[in-house]
Amino acid sequence: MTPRSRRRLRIALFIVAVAFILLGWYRGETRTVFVRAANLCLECVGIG
Amino acid sequence: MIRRAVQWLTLLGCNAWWPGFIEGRIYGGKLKSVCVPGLNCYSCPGAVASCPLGSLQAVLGSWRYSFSFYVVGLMMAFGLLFGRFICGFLCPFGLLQELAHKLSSRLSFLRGKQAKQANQTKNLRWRPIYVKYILGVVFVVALPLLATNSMGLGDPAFCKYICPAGTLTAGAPLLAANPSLRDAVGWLFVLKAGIAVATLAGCLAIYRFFCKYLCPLGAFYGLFNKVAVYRLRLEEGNCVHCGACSRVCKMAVDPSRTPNSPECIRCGDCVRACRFSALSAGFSDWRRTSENGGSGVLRGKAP
Repeated sequence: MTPRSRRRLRIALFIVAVAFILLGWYRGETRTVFVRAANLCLECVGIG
Repeated sequence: MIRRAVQWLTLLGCNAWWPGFIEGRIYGGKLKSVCVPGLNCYSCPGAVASCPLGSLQAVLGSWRYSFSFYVVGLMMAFGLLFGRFICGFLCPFGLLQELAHKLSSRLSFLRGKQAKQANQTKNLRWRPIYVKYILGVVFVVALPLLATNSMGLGDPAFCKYICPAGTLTAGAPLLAANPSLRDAVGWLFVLKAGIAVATLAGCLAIYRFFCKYLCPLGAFYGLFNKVAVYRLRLEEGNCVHCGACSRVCKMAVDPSRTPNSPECIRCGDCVRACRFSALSAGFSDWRRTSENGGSGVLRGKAP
């Protein structure tokens, strides 16, 4: 892969990544992440 | 050493809520809706943000979503910027594994095993490094998404059945500080504790055992090593193929052939080992060693 095509691919993927983040935020996924992370995850600890 | 200092700062920064360790409970602030790049369990008493793997499973396992744009987007952005530089510099569990390995290198009866293992890993044609991709697909994506209960909720299977980081950095301190949690311990904790002990034992003999073979997060970031902004550059005109770089690589990579291998965690050992300035690491494509006129900068004799 040439440096130029690599840069183009990187920029394209970065645009997709930012779009994904914004779309996820718009859909309320951050709330799901927050609720899971702010409460004790018994599965992670090895209890539930 | 800069890398070790960054690793410690990341570990302390990601787990900066110290009252949690004393009180046996976790932080519940708004920062928890943001993921850190490395593997850092959000149920660790000190954790101030979320683990990307745990967050991904949480969203996939919820009844509302069948894909997480938010977490995948964040992981893609981290991967595009850093690749597996995150594993080498910004992963708290990576540091713990390195410390375990360093400790074991002081135990004389393990030194021979470490050297033997390093040679075996490099000589294997099919290396078990692909296990981490399978674990990612099955335990991080498929099971939380498909193995749901009557309410449409899926368990975070990787966290529940495998993740040693959760057991060691969340389970152990919480159980030590919280008696009511100790009463709830059952077979699952025994299973997870066994996996955590086996992982630590693996780290004694093999450098970053979990990163190499089991970590789905490292596997994902490894896919971005070839296009990430942070990259390893090989100036082929300077390379004499002496093999010094591959000999020092603890991740069994040959940087003179595949400088941006998915297995490279960007520790920089190969760059320091190269005496011909053939390798360099940094955050861009634009700076090249050929700016020196292509003559190469010798810093010593070839072995």
